Amino acid sequence: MKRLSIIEYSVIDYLPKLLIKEISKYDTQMLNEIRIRNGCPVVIEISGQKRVLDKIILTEQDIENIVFKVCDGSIHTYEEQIKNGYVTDRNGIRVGLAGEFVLKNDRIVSIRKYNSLCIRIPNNIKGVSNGFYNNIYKGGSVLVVSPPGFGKTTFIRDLTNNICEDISKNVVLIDERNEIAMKVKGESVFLSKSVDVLTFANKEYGFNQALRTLNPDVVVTDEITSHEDSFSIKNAIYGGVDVIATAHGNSIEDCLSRNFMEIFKNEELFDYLVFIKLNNGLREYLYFDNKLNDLCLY
Amino acid sequence: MFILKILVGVLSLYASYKIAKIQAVKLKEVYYFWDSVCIACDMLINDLSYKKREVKAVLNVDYPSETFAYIMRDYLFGKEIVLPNFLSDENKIKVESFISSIGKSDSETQKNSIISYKYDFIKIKEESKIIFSKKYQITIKIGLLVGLMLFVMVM
Repeated sequence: MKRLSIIEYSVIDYLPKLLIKEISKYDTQMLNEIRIRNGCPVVIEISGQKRVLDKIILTEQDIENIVFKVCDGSIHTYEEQIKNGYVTDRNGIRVGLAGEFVLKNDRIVSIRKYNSLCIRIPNNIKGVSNGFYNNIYKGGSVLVVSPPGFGKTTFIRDLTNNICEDISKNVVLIDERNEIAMKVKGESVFLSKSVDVLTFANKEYGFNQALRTLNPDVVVTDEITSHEDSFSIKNAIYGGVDVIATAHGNSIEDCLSRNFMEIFKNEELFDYLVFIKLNNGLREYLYFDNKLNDLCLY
Repeated sequence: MFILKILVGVLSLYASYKIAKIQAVKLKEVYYFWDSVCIACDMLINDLSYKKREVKAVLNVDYPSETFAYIMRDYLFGKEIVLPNFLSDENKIKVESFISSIGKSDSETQKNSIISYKYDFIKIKEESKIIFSKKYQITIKIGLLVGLMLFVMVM
């Protein structure tokens, strides 16, 4: 499960050289996050441990320069992302933005006066779904549940790649925040080329378009967060399409008890439920059927 | 001796014409420069209205003015831009302000700003076109006249 070193990441294109040099002193193979705040020391997270780089303090102007460089000198090209509070660099690394939101007619049009950046280094860990795919999955809809940051997106990304090995399958990905495929300049950084990706489309639009025009066998999407999302997924499953999705929850019961998730609990729409938890710092994957019978423990 | 005089005379005429042509072409370069600025404005306005591609994809193209092409490439690749001396101080500020604003804000703001710059640049371009048309012919004719005078003096 190889991860890149800092010099292989695209962050070297836009972070100040002093910061890169300081980060390089650590084992960047396990770098998870770089957090930059105006007037504060930079904080990095390596293998879940936070480290403060006391010598590196960046200003608002430095942060603005970083954002400009991430956008490759074209803020307007990334304005839709910026409105949603982030930009994605050429390697698919997501840079979260915090600052003053600029409103026009009550709609967010931009962010100014950035005061912090959160650079999340993605886990492109291959093979996390192999156990499930090879030994348990026989087609059908899958819901992946875990608390935030436990690897749901990594799991469904890997599962999507596994499913795509059968190129006769039509797989559509509704990637609302460009987090799963991480498309940069039209190409996905992490996903198979045979996936039909709808980037920045919301689920309602994405499911409608996919079902009407793309003839999917499987639709993959991330984070069910609303009744509208649940409704779209329910329609797709009833329409004969397998859906792979994720949701936050401290447990499967906790997740399914939320009001917008009840429909899945009551109608047992998902064929498989995957729960990811941490056990002594290592990820553990628990698999259940739609009646919450334990299928396998890894 | 006579043939030598003819030769020197003809060479003087030719040299004078060439010098005049070089000067005249410089006037054309000013017009081409402003034409290129206007082309860049148009490309940006069109792209900002629709595709919103990155500026490198839009502006890293060939322009009628090589000078402007070099300036644009320098800006797009993060180098310091050096504006040509044939620009007045006032025009240098306008061009620098325009170039340094590219890519720095959202599409609507940029588009409005570039439309505003374009109106100014079109006026300057038209003025340079008039100056170029008047002065080009005069410069060539003066060059030929000087050349003829030298030819007569040599003979």
